Amino acid sequence: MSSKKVSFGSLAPKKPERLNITSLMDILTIILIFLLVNYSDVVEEVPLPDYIILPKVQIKSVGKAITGITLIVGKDRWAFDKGETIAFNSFASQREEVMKRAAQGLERIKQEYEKDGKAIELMILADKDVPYKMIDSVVLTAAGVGITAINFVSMRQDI
Amino acid sequence: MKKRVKFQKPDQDEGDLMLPFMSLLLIIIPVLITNVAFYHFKALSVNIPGLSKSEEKPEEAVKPDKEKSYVLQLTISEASLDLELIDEDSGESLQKETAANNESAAETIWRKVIEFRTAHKKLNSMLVSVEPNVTYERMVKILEQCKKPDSAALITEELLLVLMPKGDEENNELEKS
Repeated sequence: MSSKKVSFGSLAPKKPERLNITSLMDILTIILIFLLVNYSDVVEEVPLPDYIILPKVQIKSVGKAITGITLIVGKDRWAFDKGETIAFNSFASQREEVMKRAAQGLERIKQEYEKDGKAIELMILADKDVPYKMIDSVVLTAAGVGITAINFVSMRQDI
Repeated sequence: MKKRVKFQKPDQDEGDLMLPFMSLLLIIIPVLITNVAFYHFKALSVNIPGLSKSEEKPEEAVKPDKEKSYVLQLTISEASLDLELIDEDSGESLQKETAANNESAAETIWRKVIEFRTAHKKLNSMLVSVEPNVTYERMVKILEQCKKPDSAALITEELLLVLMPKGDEENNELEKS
């Protein structure tokens, strides 16, 4: 009977495996650069609804934080960031009613801001195709409740 | 005989040397992830005449030495952009520039605005009138362009925009015409 030779080669002490971290470092560096480019010191809390598309503006200057009363102006509705939505079928025929409800909403939010001691600014986030006559109504409504600082918000596209 | 420079191998592994840097990255990355903004907003501020704080100044204090003051007026319509230099006292239009609606219209008007601002250093505001059917996108793009300073022309301050609201009746009239 021939005896089988058992090889213990696999059990022989091996040189310890070395982890090559160069590729991992490359990935982390790319992620780091991406995050630094998109870093913002102010976290934007305004969720962008799907019924508006903001215009894109190519500009070099630093973006301003959205810190005031936010009014979202769509083609068929106006909405406050605090939840209330004013829907309409035809703006031309329902203009008075829409403006009245918007004024009530603005007045209420303005009072909340005044209690908290926050600066009262109106941020208008409008769909890019909304005609100016609708924006004009928003401006007049805001002026009617004493809001004088108005900002038109767009999406910043870096040059 | 030349002496060969010998580079000594570091005692530590390459991985060991990288470990502090890796640890730093692992701290920095979560911090950056929490502050990442996938979209950046740009807010264009405008004033409303007669209501904004900057408009509340008494008029007599502005020109004690009878110095002439001018005001710029921009009219945005679907077909063109009209820029006028107006004498504030007489309301007379001194100079008018019209740019047809094309891609470079805003740029043309901005250059003219800078020219006026260079000639009249006190000129720092512009009245803006927009026609009812002009889209929000067009309005914002033109105003962003016109507001820009120009460091080459030593104009470092942004232009103050005063929006002239029209109201329903005026909008309807303009639409009909």
